[in-house]
Amino acid sequence: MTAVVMADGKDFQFPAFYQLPPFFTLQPHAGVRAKQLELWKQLISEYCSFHRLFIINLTEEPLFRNASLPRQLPFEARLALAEHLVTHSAALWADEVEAKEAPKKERLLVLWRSVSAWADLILQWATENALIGSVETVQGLIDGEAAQGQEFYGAPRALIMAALQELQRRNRATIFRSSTGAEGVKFL
Amino acid sequence: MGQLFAKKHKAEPPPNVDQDDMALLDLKTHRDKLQQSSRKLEQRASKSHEVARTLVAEGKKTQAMLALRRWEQQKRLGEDCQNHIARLQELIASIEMAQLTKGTVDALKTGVAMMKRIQQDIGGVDQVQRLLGEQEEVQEAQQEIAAMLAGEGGVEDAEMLSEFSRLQEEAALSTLTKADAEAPATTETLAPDTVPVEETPQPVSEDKVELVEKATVSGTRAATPALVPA
Repeated sequence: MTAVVMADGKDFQFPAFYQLPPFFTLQPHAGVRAKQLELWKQLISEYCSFHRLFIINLTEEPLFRNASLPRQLPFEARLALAEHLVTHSAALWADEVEAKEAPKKERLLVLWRSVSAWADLILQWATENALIGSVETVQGLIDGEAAQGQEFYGAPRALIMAALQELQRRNRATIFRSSTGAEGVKFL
Repeated sequence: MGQLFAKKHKAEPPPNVDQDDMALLDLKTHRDKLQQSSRKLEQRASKSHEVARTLVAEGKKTQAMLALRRWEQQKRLGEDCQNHIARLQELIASIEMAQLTKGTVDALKTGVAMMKRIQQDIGGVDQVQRLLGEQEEVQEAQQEIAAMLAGEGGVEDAEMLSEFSRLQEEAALSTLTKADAEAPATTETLAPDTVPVEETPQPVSEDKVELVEKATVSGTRAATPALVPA
């Protein structure tokens, strides 16, 4: 596979198929389309992981547009791709994790590391810092001093919440709100 | 899901979260807020400083002085924020330490209670002394029983020994008779029909004992030697 270095992609190695115009058109044949969506899924995962990108906006994301072709993935195709990502748990609708009502299908939280893996990272950090049994603020996990230098430092709240909910499912954390409505987590 | 629940019943914490945890969460949330405003003030201060620098360059002294005053105020507020944060951190640390201390005391309490319970089960010094005495008695009795049993066994042994020596005698007797068979028979016990005794030396001593036994039981010596060579 010959990789092409894009000027705007810094050092990200785009796969060869990124240069093929059909790649930017949703394929009508089901089998071909499945393959195409799978390739897109891999590309998005690698791209976001490389750039430490958590949220992509379906309408804005420059990845969907190849200036050198010039081609871009039409919106319907982006939507189909997004649904493909969500059903294969490679992404979440970013606004769905927090607000349950009428989520706008626009911002995609890309899971280049699975929710479970993020949960593992948080739990590992909590264990290493002897935070098991103690209370932390959700905000503190995102930008607190204790979380500085961690992989999840600066991650979107939606991702952190999803990971904490995973920990809650595993009975390793309890998410709760204080009397003043502050959101916190107690590691177990 | 847990969040929705918490929103509806604010006062009711989920299981394994108590009021202390909630209070601690409030403290930490406040610390986070302070940290955020501290960051904000820092940014504003540096911006004001930047503005003042450009205004000075442009020669606008009054405006520059105003910007500097803002800068100074923001810096002071930022420092206040940092002080608050430090105080909160200290408080949080001492609360967590106090919780640990409480945990230690609780652990001690349960430990002491357990110790007491075990000692109660043991039943005090008197009980132990009584038990030790009883153990001695029981041991003595056991030794007596053992001695008794050993004595009975001795009786058996004696019986066996006497039987053994009797058998030995008989065996010796039979060898003697063999010798007599080769030489002219003189002993009264020897019957004339004990001629084929020549074959008896070959079998092992066990067989010999058996043979002698059989001989004593049956009394007929003629039949036994015929069995041996088979």
